[in-house]
Amino acid sequence: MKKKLLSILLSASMAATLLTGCGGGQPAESQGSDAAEENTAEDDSQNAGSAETSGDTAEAGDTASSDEEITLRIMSSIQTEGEASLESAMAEQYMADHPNIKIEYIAVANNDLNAQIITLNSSDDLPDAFYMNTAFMPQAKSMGIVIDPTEYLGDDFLNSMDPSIIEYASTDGQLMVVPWFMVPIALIYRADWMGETDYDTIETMEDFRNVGKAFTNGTDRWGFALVGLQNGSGEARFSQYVKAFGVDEIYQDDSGAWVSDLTEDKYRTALQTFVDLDLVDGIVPPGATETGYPEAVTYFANEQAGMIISGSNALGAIVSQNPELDGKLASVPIPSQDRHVTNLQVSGYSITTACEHPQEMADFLKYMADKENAITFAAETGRMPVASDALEDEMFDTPAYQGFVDCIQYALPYPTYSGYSEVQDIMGESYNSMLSGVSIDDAMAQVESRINTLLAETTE
Amino acid sequence: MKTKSHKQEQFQPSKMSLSELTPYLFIFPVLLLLVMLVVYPLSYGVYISFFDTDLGKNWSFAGFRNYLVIFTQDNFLKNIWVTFKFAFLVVAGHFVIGILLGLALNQKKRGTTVFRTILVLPWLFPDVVIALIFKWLANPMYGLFNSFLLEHGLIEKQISWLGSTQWAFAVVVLVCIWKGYPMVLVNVLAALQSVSSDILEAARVDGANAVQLLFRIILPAIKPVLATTVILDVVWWFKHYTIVELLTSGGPNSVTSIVSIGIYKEAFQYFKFGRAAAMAVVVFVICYLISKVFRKVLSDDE
Repeated sequence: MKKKLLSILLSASMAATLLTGCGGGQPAESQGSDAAEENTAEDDSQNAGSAETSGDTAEAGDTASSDEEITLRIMSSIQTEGEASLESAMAEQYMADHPNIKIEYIAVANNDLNAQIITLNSSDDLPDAFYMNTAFMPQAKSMGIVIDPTEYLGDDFLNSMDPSIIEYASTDGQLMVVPWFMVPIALIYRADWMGETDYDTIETMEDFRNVGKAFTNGTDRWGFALVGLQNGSGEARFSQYVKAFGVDEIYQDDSGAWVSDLTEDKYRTALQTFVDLDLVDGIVPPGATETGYPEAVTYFANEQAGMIISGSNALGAIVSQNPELDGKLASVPIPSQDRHVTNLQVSGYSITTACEHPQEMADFLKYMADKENAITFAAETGRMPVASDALEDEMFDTPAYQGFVDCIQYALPYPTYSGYSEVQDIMGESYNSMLSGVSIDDAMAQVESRINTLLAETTE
Repeated sequence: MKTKSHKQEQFQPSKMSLSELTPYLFIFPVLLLLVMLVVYPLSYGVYISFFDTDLGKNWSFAGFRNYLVIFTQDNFLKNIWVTFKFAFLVVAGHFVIGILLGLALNQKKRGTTVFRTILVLPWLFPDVVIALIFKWLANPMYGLFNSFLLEHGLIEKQISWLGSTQWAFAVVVLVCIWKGYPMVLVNVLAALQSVSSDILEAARVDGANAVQLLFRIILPAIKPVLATTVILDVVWWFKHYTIVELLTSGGPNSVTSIVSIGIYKEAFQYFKFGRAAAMAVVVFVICYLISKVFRKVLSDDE
């Protein structure tokens, strides 16, 4: 009988454990994601004064009273990267200044971020804000999970930056992201190696190719660290390359229909010249198709490559791997075949529809983007400020940053097409397959087939 | 019908004694767990496959359109073919290495315990760690493979092991064989220890050589274990994702583009969850059929 009783108790306790483990009903503020690591950037000195440090405060009519305890849950990919301590330090300082605000970071790797947001949205458990990847903006707009924070930010904040930055942070007229920093794409090169060439700067694609040849010795030094892996990182760089040839991957014609230049001769030319950098000119280190951004930066930092198309954050990554390169780097806008171009890659946090305190969240996000914080952050990471007065700081008046500052004027609007990531994948497949030996005709036939199918689905 | 009503009469909790209820109480937690973790996700996956959805507010009924699309586009069928090749080669590799090592380690010799421990290690490493280790070993510029081959004059210039269509698939398969053979090894080793030494001795007395012993006595004796292992292994590697994604992301030129990578892309890169779910349902059906076929072929009916 004792055994029976014991067995019943055990089974009952097992069932209870299960039910407890699966039970919902906890307040949203305390819920986290299984796959995410939750960090609380809480400072011991929370009782410090509550001086306002966020600069211009927007209309704060609906701001919660200062003694109401508020928790802001922020899903951050920065928390999984080297810049985590810088971001946490800002949050700690803000909490010290606002004792009623508690900021919790949910750390999620950038590659998993979109999937996490979609999953959390399907279970009605969105955080208050999340780090927005540019490519995810059209999808987030379509899903209706992000609010337009304009009313909480105030005119002073929005007017402090170039209108092109606001445009980048918007989709179909809705401000999707509170701009925090930008990572414009330009060409980084070894300024000290330029003395070995006949060039003072790199203006055109022809210059780029010739400088690449001059940098290359074919044994342990190559001209260009080409990211040939078929992933978002490689595709984003290739996208800028083909745009310099006048290609617009996806855009709306006068009738409003989505059309693409990927089937045009100018894309064919751009694609051919891109892969020829490896296959014909021989200025790319071996293994281009398996070279991702980390490998490319390593080649550059180890002085095995002299040029790389990248965002300004690569400056920080290169110098941190090889401090001896500090002062030896320079940058120029993406060389022109038809035009100079860049993607500003305006980054920051989006406030979700689940956020109950958008005013407080907006205030914190403004604090992160203010001049002092932005310059400190840029100095450590290479991620550039969005505020115009911060960009005038002397640290950006150097050869390393010159190209990134100059290229801002060439920014093209980011496509708002909801299937843009698939368009990028089509381009990625084309360069990756050609680097693997596929002919231009076959690659273009595949491009044509996929883009036409995609456009037909869009029309349906 | 008679049987059914008889059963209904039997299961009347209010009239059951505590001892009669006990088995159901034991079953309940696991049943609940199965419904929550297996039945619900599977059913939800099938449900999604009939919609065009972003899993948010946008849901539009698509009927069988997602299934029609994936079967009329080359990519999915190509991915399925690559996956069959990949799973077949990986599982074959596991069984060859696993059985040979299992036979070797089944002998009562000094040091076998140490080797057993060492040889099981690949199984204990996480997929991510293994993928990153091999990615750097195979790196054309810094990798140990190229460094060794160049140093010994076996190659003249760096080979892009993971970046060339000639090598990438083979390297990925080899890495996955290295990662997964211990599962077969452990199962085979356990099964071998249950093979009666009397039967083996009798076969030897009858004049059987080592090959005949292996194919006529040992393998038939451990066939039930092998059958279960092959089903688990095939299904596991048919839907594998991590190592291939980290090593090649399906490239170069899609030579390593297994179906799980296609599904992930469809869902989390293109945000076409309905189509991705339809692909996943097809993979589920394929895995189920594989399981049925193996059970039939490897059954002990004869």
